[in-house]
Amino acid sequence: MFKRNSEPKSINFLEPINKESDMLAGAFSWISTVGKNLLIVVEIVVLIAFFARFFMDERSNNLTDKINAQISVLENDTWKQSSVKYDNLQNLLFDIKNIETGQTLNSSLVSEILSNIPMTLNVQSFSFNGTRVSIALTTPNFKALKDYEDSLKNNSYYSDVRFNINKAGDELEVNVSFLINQESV
Amino acid sequence: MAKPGSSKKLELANLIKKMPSKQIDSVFIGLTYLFAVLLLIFAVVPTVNTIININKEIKDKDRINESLENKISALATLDEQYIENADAFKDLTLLFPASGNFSLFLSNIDAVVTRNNFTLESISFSKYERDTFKTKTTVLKPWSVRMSVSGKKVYLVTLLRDLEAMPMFPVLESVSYGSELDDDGNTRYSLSLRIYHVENAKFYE
Repeated sequence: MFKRNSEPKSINFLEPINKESDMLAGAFSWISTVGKNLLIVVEIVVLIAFFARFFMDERSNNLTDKINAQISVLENDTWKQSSVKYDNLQNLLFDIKNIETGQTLNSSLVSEILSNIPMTLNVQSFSFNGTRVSIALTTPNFKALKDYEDSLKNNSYYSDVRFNINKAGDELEVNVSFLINQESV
Repeated sequence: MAKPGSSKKLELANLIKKMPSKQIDSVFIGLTYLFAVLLLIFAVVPTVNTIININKEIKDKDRINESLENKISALATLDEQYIENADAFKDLTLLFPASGNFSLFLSNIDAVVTRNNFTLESISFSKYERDTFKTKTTVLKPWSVRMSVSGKKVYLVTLLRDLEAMPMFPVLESVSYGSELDDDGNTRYSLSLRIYHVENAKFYE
């Protein structure tokens, strides 16, 4: 009545290791466990990458469109011209500020030199040229001349002070020359 | 009917029979690592790299976009400010001419000279050839003005100060005079000034 199981009841531990059925069973087991998990992980990574790229590409494309639109606005002739004009004006204003604050005015220097010449000395000619000053003087007053020479030589703002004195009758003809030190200018 | 104890034994036998040996197990563990490493090298790393690159590209584009936006808004603001101060900017073309037209300078010189009781006898403009100009400028270039005026010595310093106070920021480069007087008792002075102009003729356009 009851059929006996056809499979032999044996516990055989001595079967060959690389038996085909074992390999298949192992492969199936690997595919269904570790392989499955690997596949899931890969799928997750692929999906994340896909959506990330999807959104990032969209954002990148939008930005490219925006940049192109802005460039076309800036390439418009009016804007281009305005841009150049404002650049020029900015440079000009910068230069104006530089010359306004950076340059030394010489009128006060000339005024100081002229006011330092004693009244007893008669100026025959005066020349101021950059940093060199030449003065031709006449005077009968040697002391005044000597004082003037001392004052120039003792002034640290001046250098290379030269006095050339000739006697013409009662008067002394004097050629004075000196340099104005650049640091004081 | 099979006994429950004997069927349990049969299942256990099947399980042991079907279970891979330790060697096969090691092969599959190795394969797992190999696949994992291959996936990492050929799938995950390039994907992550691509995403990083796109992200970098987006950041670059964001920066460019922002700077362009700033430029456009700055230009718009400058446009408004320029319109507000158009007259002042127009004056710059006269103060620092690009075309060599020193008409404002000439009219100012004339006014300053007359105001100080001097007479303008001659004036000329020439290329600046001295080496005393040390200020760094990008647009403004020095230009030389030679002039001769006659008047009283007593007003000379005031004249020089007024000349240097003109809005073109001129600088006195040289001054010389002698002791000779003309019929009206005036002394003749030679003056040299440094003024500025813009070299580019289309600068203000």
